[in-house]
Amino acid sequence: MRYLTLLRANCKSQKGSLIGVLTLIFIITISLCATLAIWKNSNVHERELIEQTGYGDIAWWVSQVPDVEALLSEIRAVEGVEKATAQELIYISRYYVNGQGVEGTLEVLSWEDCRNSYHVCADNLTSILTQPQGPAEGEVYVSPAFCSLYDAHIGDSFVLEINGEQTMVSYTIKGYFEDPRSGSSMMGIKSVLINGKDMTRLSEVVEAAENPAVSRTGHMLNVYMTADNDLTIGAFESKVNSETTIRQFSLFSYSKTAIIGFMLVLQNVFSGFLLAFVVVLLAVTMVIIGHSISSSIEQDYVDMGILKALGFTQADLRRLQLLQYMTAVLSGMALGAAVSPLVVSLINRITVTATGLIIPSDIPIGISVLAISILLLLLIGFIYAKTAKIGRITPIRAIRGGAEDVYFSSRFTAAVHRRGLSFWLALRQLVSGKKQYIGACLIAVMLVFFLSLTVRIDAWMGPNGEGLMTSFNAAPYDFGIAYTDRSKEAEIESFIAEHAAVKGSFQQMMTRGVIDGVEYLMYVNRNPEYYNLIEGRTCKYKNELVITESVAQELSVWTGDTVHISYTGQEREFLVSGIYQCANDMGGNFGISIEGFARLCEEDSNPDSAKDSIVNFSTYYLLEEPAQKNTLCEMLTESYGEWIVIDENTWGGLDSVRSALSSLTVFMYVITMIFIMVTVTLTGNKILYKEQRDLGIYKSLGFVSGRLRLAFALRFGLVAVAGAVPGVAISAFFTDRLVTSLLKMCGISRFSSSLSPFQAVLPAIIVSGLFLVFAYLSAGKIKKVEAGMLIVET
Amino acid sequence: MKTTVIKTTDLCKSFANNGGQNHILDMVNLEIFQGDFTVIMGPSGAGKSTLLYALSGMDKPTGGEVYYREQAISRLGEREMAALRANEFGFIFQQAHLVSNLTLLENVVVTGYLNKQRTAQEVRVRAEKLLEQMHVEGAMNRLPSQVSGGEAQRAAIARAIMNEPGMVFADEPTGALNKHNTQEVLKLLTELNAAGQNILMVTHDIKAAVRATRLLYLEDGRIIGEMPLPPYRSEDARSREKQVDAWLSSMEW
Repeated sequence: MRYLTLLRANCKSQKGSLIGVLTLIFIITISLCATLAIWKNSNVHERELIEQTGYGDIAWWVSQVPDVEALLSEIRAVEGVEKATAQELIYISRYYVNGQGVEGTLEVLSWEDCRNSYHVCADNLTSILTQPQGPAEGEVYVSPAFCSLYDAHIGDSFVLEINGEQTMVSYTIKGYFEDPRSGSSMMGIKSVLINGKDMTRLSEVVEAAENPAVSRTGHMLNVYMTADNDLTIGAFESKVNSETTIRQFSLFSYSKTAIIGFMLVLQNVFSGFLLAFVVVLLAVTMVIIGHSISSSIEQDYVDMGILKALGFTQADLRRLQLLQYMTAVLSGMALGAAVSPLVVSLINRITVTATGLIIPSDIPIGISVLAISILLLLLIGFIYAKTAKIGRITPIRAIRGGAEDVYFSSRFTAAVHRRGLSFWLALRQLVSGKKQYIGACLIAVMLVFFLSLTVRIDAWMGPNGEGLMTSFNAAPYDFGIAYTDRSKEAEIESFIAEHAAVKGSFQQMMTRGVIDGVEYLMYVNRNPEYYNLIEGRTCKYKNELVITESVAQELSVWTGDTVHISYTGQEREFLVSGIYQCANDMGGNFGISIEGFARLCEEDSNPDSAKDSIVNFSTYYLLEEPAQKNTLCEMLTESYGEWIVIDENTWGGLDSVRSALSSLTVFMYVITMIFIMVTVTLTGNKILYKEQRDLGIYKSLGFVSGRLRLAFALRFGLVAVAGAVPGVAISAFFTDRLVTSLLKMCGISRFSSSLSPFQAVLPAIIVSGLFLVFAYLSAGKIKKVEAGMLIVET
Repeated sequence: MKTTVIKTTDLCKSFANNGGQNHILDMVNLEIFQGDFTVIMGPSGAGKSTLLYALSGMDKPTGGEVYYREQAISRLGEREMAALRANEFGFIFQQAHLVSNLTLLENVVVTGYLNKQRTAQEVRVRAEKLLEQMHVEGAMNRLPSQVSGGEAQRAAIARAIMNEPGMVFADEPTGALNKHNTQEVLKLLTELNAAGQNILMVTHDIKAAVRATRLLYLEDGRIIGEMPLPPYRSEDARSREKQVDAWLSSMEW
């Protein structure tokens, strides 16, 4: 009862601080629960869906297989293979969504084959239909990602190019389905579901067209490992490749882990980023709570001394403080946990067209309770430790007037000048009571660091996402040209030279190759000096290759090691000459020179394929003025559209990434603003309370409230600047490493940011400005301080 | 004919108290004259400090008006009031009330900076001179927490007169000092008055009151007695004390 009475009284007198703590814990709990929910739910949901589709431990996409059953039997005979299944599909490489042309692999699947393994979404993309009708003839189901990629909606046209423009097959978008294999806007491959009868008809049309470069029938072979198989996925893939004829028919292959990684890259990267932000917020909150405890002990020194005189022990008083803060902490946690499902639901609704999945909004109880418990224990320990100074309070010292006077002497004291008097007074007050501002300063360091990190990511990405695109390319370029007919090549080159200043150009093609039994995307470049090299040197000679860090880690090889590359039946030894950056296929790629490629094509059982590949080289251009790109591309399309396909080095999913990053940035800025507001209000109130006498003196001397408010606000501005400087420096030093570790998830192994001076100091300006503004607002109560308080009524 | 510096007309200050009115100042009409060292005395709770607040503009009266050199001050805005305090009023409190993170010199200098008539250099020179005059030149670069109460109070006096105010308000300026420092401070105030400084002081201490040239007695919010005195001379101290004591006895002090 005695605790309850005192607790009630303390909560009343410390109302402001406790509300502040409650707010901060509320925000942290929401962010933590939401992050965990998004991460956990999307992972669980994706895994469930992919299991439901029957995706094997590895899947091979094959075409032109004369006898699928025979191939499956071959695979089943390999030791360690539990089972192998085939799913019929049609590959389309050019299609039109609502009139907008798309270059990329499209897999057409039959609804009848998939009705039990795929989920159809409600039209408003908020739930799953329990008894979907399926597409009627002439209708198609697409991933929700088509909305963000191509602004596609129900009722829009969906046209497949089967054999150039001579044969086109049209459908109407009937609705959306969750595609756990390729539904994310981050993935280039896409799948659609059509009616079974349409599938049969389409197969006939495709086979009749006999144009495999544009459309072809094929299968996806799902291969499952036995449970006791202790091979790695790479080794298993290598084993199946080497012990069967699958490589002859394989277009590409992906493990289940890789597909899940592709699908969840956005969620995992952003969850990681948000989790790091939550850690920063927690550190900030602990600083604030620490400051609040110290100040309230100072403020209630006499009361505590009296309570000790009355018989309360140090442990009683510490327990009381703990209970007081726990009231706020637990209330904040309860409120946060209650609100977080709404936040998760909102985030899921916003991001459904990027992720392509309707991720459940439930909060994962186990992991959330665990995280909140850890948070709680951490706070209990911290608060208990911070209240240790209650032990130093003695009744006699309390009765004599409380804590010892603050000693204001400092080595950093600067003279007070008439010009800029408010500033000099602010500086003096700051230096004199610097202990009070350490918390605010640390908070400024952390917030500036995190905002700087955001600015760096934003700058790296560039206004049009060019930074991200460069990371996904083996070599940097502004635009590329793929020739459907090379007869005009020389003319087109002259046209480009005539209309823009070209800084450089290279010819490159993409195919797939196998290194030491593991299949990867293979870049062949006539000008390998353009590769985005990060270590070693480029593949100058015909027996050299460059690999990404992901491939290097997967194969446990590095610069100087040798590997074996297999391509269309030929196998040659190559030396790793360097490590390069290319996030395509989550970093699962390597690059060789044209000479290296020619080596692989020697004695080719099908010499035409090598010849075809040479024809498939596209030319990529780097412009002196990248801004000229759009105009030039428009002119090229207008004049030579018939002979070429232009790659503008952009990607539909870029908008999703950019908008996700923008939302994250806005979220972080809002949270930062709230944190600064709470920090300044809590710290400011304690300082104002302590400085009432000085404020009264200044007023009695003739200072107006405005000037005192300004001096007060300037103090916080200066504190923020003092914190912002190391914040910017730490960010410059650590951001690239930190972000690299996050982006490794999507194959970007080297994040390197560079900022203009303005961009570098922008977070510092924002944080300092916010500190200044909130301190000015918080100092409004200076107006109420009367000089009359100095006069003692006798 | 003496020049009036401060004048009040029907000055009232009341507080609501359990549905009734508690009149702290009740229709006070008084004038404070140029050159005087006016001391207000009275029993505890008589309203002395409230009267000082009202006269110095620190508190707004609930009725009547206060004029400083014919300018009504009780309804002035914050800015005008601040200007008046910076240029025309000086304050000495019971505690020195120096800004704790400024040195004694800076406490005085900052006050000087608010008055635009002197350059920063002139302000500094005058502040140093005043602190010398107050015999605290040796402590002028120390913080208030590093000096004695007497030194701090003398620095507070220097601050109060830094801008050559039209009136120095002193609220029990010796209330927190020991005997020696009390004498020092009273001596300084007397010297200042002798040099022409108008002073209005509230005190309980007869030894302080005898320094006055005019004594006012306040009881229940009204001025009920007044006694003029000749300028103070140390050799007359004992006889003035007796005289004031007798007068206070007649006021039922």
